Amino acid sequence: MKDNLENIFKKFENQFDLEEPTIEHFNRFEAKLNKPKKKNYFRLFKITGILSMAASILLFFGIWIGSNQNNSGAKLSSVSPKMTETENYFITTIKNEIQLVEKEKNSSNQQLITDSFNQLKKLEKNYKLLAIDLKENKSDPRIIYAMIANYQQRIIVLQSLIQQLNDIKQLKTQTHEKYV
Amino acid sequence: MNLDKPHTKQLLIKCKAGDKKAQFAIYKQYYKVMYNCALRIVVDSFEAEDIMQEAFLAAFTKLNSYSGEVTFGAWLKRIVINKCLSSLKKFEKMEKVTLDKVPFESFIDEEIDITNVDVTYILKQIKNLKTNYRIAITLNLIEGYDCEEMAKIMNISYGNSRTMISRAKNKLRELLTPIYER
Repeated sequence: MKDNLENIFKKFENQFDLEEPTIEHFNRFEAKLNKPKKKNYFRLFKITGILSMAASILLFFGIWIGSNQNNSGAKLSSVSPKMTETENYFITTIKNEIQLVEKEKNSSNQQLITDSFNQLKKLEKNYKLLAIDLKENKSDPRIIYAMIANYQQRIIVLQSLIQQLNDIKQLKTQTHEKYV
Repeated sequence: MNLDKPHTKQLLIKCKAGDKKAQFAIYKQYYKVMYNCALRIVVDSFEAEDIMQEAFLAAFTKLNSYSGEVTFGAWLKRIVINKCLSSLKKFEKMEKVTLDKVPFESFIDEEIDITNVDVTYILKQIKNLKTNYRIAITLNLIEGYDCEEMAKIMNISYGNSRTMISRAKNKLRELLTPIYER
């Protein structure tokens, strides 16, 4: 049977939607629906141009109080475009690996996964501290190295977690009763 | 002209008023189509879900600007596609077309042996295309946008859009052709 491309796609029209999102997506969407929309607020500011005004007022206010409570810090990407690339790379890698782990999640390895995620949270906290440092000492190479090392550590944690999950999986399948 | 079902129309009026139940009902009605559309463009399932859900939220907040000229589904799909493209751009997965004028290459739609070709196989081969071609095939052949509409969506010239589509089609046909015939 032969046919050209256009006709093939016409023939299969409306049949391409095969995939389903992960099971929990209804819950996640419900959560997003019920969350107060911060983004909207920002967009409104952006449109009216008030954002710049508000920012400057905030800045003056901040200076006036003279507090060091500003804990947002500077991102790695603020150093240079190359760093932006590096950061994006790390973020996507970490995102992918977390996704891998989420797929493997079940009741028997939950403890293991939460443990690793706690470690990740600690690293994130550390990163935030570094970000504050970076803001104060703009592009100090030591801080930048520390930030990159922080990302690398997160990946190492995730990789060893994935390795452990795989080991568990293998053990379970190998000692299956069919060998008895 | 409004092609939506009366039920959908009712729901949309409720959505505009911020009715969460109505918004969730709309989500249930459209999520699968939108998710698949996003997945075909960005490939990553995690990202596709996120984009799909964000598109719904954006649609609900922008519902006032929906004029009803096209179906709600078509309008929502444009939001999904735009979000997908900006997400790809963000991570610079999209190659830029630098030439302003690309000569139009003709595409001869030769016939392919499709005895063993099914939807899953076609989708798999589309995934093997490079990003630009993948987008072109998805938008043109699956979503049904023409060259002009695609030029607008992708923010490129009409000529570039035509060339990209025909190149993408050639490549896909090559991939779909059984090995022994190549």
